[in-house]
Amino acid sequence: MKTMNCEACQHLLPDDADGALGAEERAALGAHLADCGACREYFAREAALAAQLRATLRQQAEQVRLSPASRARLLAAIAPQRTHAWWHAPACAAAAAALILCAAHFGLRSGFTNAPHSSQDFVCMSTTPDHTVRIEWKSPSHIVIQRSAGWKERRLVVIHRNGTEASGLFVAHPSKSLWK
Amino acid sequence: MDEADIIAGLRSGDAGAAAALLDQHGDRLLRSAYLLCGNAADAQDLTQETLLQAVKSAPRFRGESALYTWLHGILLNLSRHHARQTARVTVTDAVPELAAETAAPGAALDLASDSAALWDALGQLSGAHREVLVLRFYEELRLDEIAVRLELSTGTVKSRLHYALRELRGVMPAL
Repeated sequence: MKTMNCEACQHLLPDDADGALGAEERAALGAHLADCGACREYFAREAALAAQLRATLRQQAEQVRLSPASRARLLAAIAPQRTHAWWHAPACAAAAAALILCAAHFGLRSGFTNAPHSSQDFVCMSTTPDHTVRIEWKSPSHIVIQRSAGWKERRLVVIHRNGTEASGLFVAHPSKSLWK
Repeated sequence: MDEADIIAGLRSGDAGAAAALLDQHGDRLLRSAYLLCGNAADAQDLTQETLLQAVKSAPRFRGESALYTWLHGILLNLSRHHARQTARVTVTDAVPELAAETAAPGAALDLASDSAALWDALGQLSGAHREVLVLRFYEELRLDEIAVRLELSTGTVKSRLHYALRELRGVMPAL
């Protein structure tokens, strides 16, 4: 059986955790650990950190889940054949008084593969019960985007309808030059 | 609805398939996105964009991996793109030198309080290091599986994992 030094031993820790070592390597690793207190301590310390990382990540992950409202919004986004007359909703009354934020020129910037022809071509997926966005089509090169007051942090995601499938994704971010 | 039915449904524009995709994978994607980006609002955007891309790309899905594996690959790409576009801002009121003095390396940790500290420390890592730790310790992937997801060699993944843990210990010396 080949002997192993500490560096080689510690290098094999992730492979050992994966059960990816061959019989000879596994035997050499076991023999080294039996004789080396420093490497045993290293393995124990790494195992403790791994356990703590697993617990922390799981704990954090469990704090987030899709709310019914989020689920509905996501479903509306990924099932584009559904009709969304969202600007007729009462909550969108606030949007009527919103500041006109930008007049974006479509084409190169938007990423749409088909030129929009009317306001009905768009659906916005970034709205929330408190904050709404209205998209008004003016011409093939001119679109007005309005948002309700207080809608500052979330990025705006708009898709262009094309039959049953979104044909383009339009992501605007305040830091981008798209916002005039 | 099983995975084959979902893919077939997405290809034919079936709203029920989109709902099944969301119900079966939405929460899991959202959680992974949250761990990758550390921000609930961005995680929701990433999840949405992931599902949108999946719906659009369903005709190209060849079934060579599990559906979640494919979705998670899309999420990883979007997450990296997001990280490149987002300025890295670290807000902390802890002074590293003081932390080093008050906690000896390897000292026993109080799980409840240190879990929050560890989460903060993860937020200070580079995107690549955070990513590999999430894949290893949350997604529970082997080195070779991470290598496939990240399109890297297994050796590079192993090295990245090592340096990620080292960076983490640099941020939080008590580990």
